[in-house]
Amino acid sequence: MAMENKQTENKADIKEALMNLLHSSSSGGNQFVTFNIATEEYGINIKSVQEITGFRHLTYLPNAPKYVKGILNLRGNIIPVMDPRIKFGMDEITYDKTSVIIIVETSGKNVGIIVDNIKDVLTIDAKNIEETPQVSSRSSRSSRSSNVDSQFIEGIGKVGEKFVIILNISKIFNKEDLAKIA
Amino acid sequence: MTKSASDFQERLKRIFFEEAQDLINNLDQHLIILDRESDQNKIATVIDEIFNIVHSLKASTGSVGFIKLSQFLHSLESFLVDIRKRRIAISQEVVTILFDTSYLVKDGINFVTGTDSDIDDEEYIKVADLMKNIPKETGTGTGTGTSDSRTLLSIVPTPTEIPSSEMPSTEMPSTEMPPLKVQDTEELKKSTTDNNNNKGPKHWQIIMILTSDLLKSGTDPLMYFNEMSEFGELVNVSCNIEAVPSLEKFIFDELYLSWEIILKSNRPLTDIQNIFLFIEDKSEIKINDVSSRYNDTGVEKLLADKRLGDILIERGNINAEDVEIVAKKQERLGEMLVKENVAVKEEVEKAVDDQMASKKHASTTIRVDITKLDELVNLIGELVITSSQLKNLIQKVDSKDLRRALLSKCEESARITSNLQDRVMNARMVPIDTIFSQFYRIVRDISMKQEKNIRLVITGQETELDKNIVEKINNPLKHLVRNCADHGIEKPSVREENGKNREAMVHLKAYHLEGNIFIEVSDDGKGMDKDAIYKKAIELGLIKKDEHIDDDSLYELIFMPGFSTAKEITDISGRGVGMDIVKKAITDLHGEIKIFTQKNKGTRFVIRLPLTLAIIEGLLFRVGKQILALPLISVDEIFKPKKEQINTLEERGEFVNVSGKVCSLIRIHHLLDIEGAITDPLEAKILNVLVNGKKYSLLVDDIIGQQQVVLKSLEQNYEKVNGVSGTTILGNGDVGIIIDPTEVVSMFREKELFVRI
Repeated sequence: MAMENKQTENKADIKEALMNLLHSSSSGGNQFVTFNIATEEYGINIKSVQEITGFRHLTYLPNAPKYVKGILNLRGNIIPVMDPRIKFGMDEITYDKTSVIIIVETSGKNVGIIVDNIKDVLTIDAKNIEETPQVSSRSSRSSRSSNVDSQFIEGIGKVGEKFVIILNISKIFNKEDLAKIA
Repeated sequence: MTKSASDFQERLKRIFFEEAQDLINNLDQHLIILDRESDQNKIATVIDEIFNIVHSLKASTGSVGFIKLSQFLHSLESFLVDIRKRRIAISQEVVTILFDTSYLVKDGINFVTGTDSDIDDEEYIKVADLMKNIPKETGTGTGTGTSDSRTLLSIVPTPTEIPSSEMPSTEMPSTEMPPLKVQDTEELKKSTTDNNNNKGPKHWQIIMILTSDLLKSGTDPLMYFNEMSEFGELVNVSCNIEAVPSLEKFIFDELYLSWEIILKSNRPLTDIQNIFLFIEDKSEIKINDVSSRYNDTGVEKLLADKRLGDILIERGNINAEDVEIVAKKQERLGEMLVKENVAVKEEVEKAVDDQMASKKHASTTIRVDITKLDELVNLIGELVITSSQLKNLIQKVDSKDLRRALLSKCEESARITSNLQDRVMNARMVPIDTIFSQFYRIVRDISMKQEKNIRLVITGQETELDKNIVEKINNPLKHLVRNCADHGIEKPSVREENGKNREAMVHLKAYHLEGNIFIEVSDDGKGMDKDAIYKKAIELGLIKKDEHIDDDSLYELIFMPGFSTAKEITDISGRGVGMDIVKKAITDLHGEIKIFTQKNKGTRFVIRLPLTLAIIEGLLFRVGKQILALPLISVDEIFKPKKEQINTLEERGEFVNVSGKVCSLIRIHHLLDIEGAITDPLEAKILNVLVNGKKYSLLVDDIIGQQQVVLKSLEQNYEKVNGVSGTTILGNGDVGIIIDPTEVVSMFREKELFVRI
């Protein structure tokens, strides 16, 4: 129980730090919000992150692809929310208190993605980001990108001893790709 | 060009476009008045207004560098000057030309701002020639009669024109009457220029667009200026630098500049033309006599919005001390006019009031981007939700007194919020006049073309509705009005035979009623031909032969695609855009249209529209755990079905018998794939909707109730979803889906078809 408290506190700290970063104009192009999906740590460029909110009730959207889990109201704006797990072909989970929705901006639209939890805000220099090997088929994945189709990956960032998979947001929400998977 | 520079250009253009749009609307409205007005004094005021508008337009087109358009406006301005000075009498012909110019200017603005890609230079030249060719009466002098207030004014202008807020000695408000002011200074100057027109120097406007490779031949453009100045005085020289490219594209020996020169000279036109003799064929040189625009000191009259006193001092006609002395003795212009029996006191007072009102109006209006208002609406919506949550929390407060106090404050803030919401919604409203006024022109054109005598009557043009609706209702209305004038109205001779007035009437009417906007388009023409519609309906297979159909349903059929009984297709209407498009446009706006027609009496279309697109009256219902909404307007009835009402027909699906009529049963939960819904119709509720005149029964779990819902776009962050017209935010902050009944029905039909195959 105590540990859980600490965890949520920690999460709140990160969130606050994050919001500060989001609001400061000086945040450079090499900062990444990192989070977990299953066992892997992923990162999104902080520039595209609009907001982070705890998981909440979503309204089911009829006739939408399966990975679109529903829509939510963010201060009067309607935001579609998707689950990258489904997109990446992983097993679905039931969302819990630590689940987080990251609102990102991609090609002029605001979209939410559900992740297991928020980890950190990391600065990763470009020289420490390794480009993904160009593999088109899903069977020959990059060893580090675990079960994620490499086309969604922008690169692998190295921070100390750990690796962060940097996601290409626009690819994930690209409609043409959606057709293939759906 | 750098990005920011082009951004700036774009912004400038947009501002110009909006401004010009307003000016043109204003222009059209005045032209309409001009067309109908017969009172000479009122006409004079209207002409002044038109002149001012054209002048502002010219100024702003000039300032953003649209030289050609501003030249056209310039000739229009000169034309107006002639009208104003009564050198040209106002006739049907003149009004038509003015209407044409207004359309050309509109096109021109669309062209230069890039909203229109094609423009016909010929048209401009044609109209400009038309303006030139209107015969002018020679010289007005002072013989226009003493009843003309303008001539009288010119007799006593000096003391009345010096009022000034800058003169502390008088407590005179600076609100003199501008139309009068412009007139009398104008008149005064005219008397001097008119005399000069014959013998004195002339003012030539020289537009000099030299060939771009002039410099290559070693010619210095300065030489033309030198030659010109030998012939007289260069009153004004303005250089157009619009063609100068960015530095990387700049070619050093290319000439990018062009000039407009005002030359005051005694020399004849041929002399001036000779200056350009050698470059004439390669360059574009235009020389116009613009003497009427200038007074003898070279001050452009049009800009002479200065006070008369100042002008006179400038010209050296009087000196400042004299003015001061007179100014101390001066009275208000209005009072003077009354005293001199020139004007009736009431009229002057009214004019002053109007002037004040227009000044007040001008200073209190600002332009606001509609997205800013939308953001406000969003935030207010959030405020509403938060305060309802707050209210729930207050219930948990232990102290009874505190709870009561908090609740009352909560109520208060809710009231303010709803007030705020109304105001913001109101800010999005514009008067329907912006589209109504164009119909004068349309009806006028049709009357002339078809030799009909049609009077357009417009009432309720001040009725306000949502800007988005105004834009979208424009085309359907145009279609209806054209239909009325084209098909509905008979030729005068036919009307006479039928014992009607030769003059036909088309009536456009707008009004508010019970939270809706009603727009009526009616005519007193021949009415719809019931038999023709009946025949056509059978022909199209919409009804069976000998099938009985009541009149209302029969007339409804004209809204079906491909339905037209027009025997001949005119170039005005009947070109394939049918009434079905009109109906669809109105349905898309959550409105409806009804027809009332009577043979030989006329036809009336009544359109009902919501006040705004942002809020609709919705019916909330539940399917499974989902809360859905339908526009209330499409809901026909709600009931709990009885066993005998539900029928399943082999291979034809399920039906509900609603008072003798059989309606298809649509299982919403199937169609939208919603889990956990009630599947047994006897446990659920039936919600009947009307789509294209047919009833369909939707199966829903429960009805929640009627509520005003604020429409939210789903497309903004997502995409169009079939069967869904939008979303709304429910009282608890969750999102509710708004169902589009038309789409749901077509989805249902497709599915049904699929199953049957």
